[in-house]
This record gives sequence, C-alpha cells and structure tokens, in this order.
Amino acid sequence: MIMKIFSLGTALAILLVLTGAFNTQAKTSASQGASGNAKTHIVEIKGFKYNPEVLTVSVGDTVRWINLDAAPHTATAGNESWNSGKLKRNEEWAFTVTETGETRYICIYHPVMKGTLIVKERDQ
Amino acid sequence: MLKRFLMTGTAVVGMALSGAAFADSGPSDMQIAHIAYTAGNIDIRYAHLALAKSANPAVRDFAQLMLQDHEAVNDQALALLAKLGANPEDNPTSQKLVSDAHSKLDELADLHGVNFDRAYAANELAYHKFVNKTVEETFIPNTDNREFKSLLGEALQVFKIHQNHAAKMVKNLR
Repeated sequence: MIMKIFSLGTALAILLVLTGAFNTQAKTSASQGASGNAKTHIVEIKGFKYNPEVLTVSVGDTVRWINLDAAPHTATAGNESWNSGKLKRNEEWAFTVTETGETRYICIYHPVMKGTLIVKERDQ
Repeated sequence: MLKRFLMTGTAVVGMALSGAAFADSGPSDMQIAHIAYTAGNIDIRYAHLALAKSANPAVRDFAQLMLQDHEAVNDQALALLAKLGANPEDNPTSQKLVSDAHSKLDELADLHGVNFDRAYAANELAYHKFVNKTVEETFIPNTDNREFKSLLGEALQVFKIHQNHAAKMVKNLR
C-alpha cells in the first residue's frame, strides 16, 4: 500500500539521489565579467562540509556557495569581512572577491564546518 | 529521571520493532514519519523551554540551533509528504513519546540556573542518542519510500551533529 502511495515520487527521488551523487565536485565556469577572464567558482555545502574545503581563486572572480543540506548553513569569514547569512536548502549566495589573502570561514550555526578561501592576484 | 525517560523511549521503540504496537509486522512509512516528526517537535519544545529559562549563552545558542534545524527538517518532511499526497499516521509510539516529553518538560521547568542548564544539556544528549539510534537502526532500514529514506538519512546527519554538540555542552557545564 505504501509502495503504491509513493510510486509517483520514486522516479524523481532516484533522479534527485543520482544528481546529488554525481554533483559533489566543485565547479568553475568562465563568465564574461568586467575583468575579462573572471570566473565563477561554486562551493557546494553538503553533508556538513564545504566542497571543496579549500578553494583558490583570483581577484575579480566570483565565489558562489550553494546549500544542499537539510539544515541551514552559512559561509562566514573568520574575520567577518563577508557573511552569506542563513542559507536554507537549495539557497545560494555569491560575492566577488576584491582582495588577495587567505580567509578561513565557518558555518556560524555548525562551527565544525570549516573552509578556506585563498585569493591570488590575477595572472596577466 | 533521564535514565527512566530513555528506558521508557527505548521500550516503546522496542514495541515498534516487535510489531506489538502496530497492526502489522512493524511501523509503516507513515507511522515512521509521524514518530520522526513528533520527535523533532518534542526537541523544539525543549528548546523553547531552554530559551525561556536559561541565561547561559552556550545553552541558548544550542537551543536556538535546535529550533532552527528541527524546524527546517520538519518543514522539509511536510513538504515531501505534501508532494507525495501522503499523511503521517498517529500511533502509540508517537503518543508515548509525547506523554514522556510532557513529564520531562515538567521536570525541567522546576529547575533553575545551572541546575536547569545541566539537566537540559544532559537530556539533549540522551534524547539525541536515543533518537539517532532509533532512526539509524529501525526507521531507515524499515522505510520503503526512497525519498523519505533519503530525508531520514539527511536528518540523521543533522542530529548526529547535534549529539556531538550536546556532548560538548554537557562536558562544559560540569
């Protein structure tokens, strides 16, 4: 009986699971920003981890965090120079980096989650 | 008292496992959904009590986190049920959980200051251990629907983080 009730959702569920399973690698895509070669980098938040945990980008690039977890999360710089605010499931937040340096960040709700953003000068 | 609560809950789940509390061989998906949702709501009630009674920042932060995360998981459970056109089914296990929680809430409400903080922290640790064990060993293996099983797995991941957090809170309040 239950199986009949759920049959309509099963196909979608499998699709969602498969999509999630093969969607765990960080992605970087080229974009046509004002700085020419600027790229957009994606950090997936899943399983209470940032993926990738360490991301190296160039000045002018954009970093986008997407929360795929059931619990809300944040990406908050240790020095609080940037903060995504609360990201519910499937919500995302992005910002364009303007300064070089290494910033460690956490989820303020679940501080066991740690990430590092490294920003370098853009190669000419 | 904590031990009694935990033992009572364990006995209830034992009944569910044996099928004694249900008409068929064990809890159905919709009964599991009701129990899981009820368990989340109970922890939300504990959190509201902590926010009303505690002045300890660490305890208040934890309670706020419980509100946020359990509400998020429960909202997603309701959304999934709505999408599937299914309704959670009340059952003796859910009713027993609620009954025991009322007793625990009364007990906690009579405590003050650090005594409340310690009791709340200890209860959160015991409760999450109990719920996590039940979800991992009973609910997930017995759930048929893949989406629901997946959500239970994600919820378990959240609740294990809470359990670790509660363990640290207990240690820091000694």
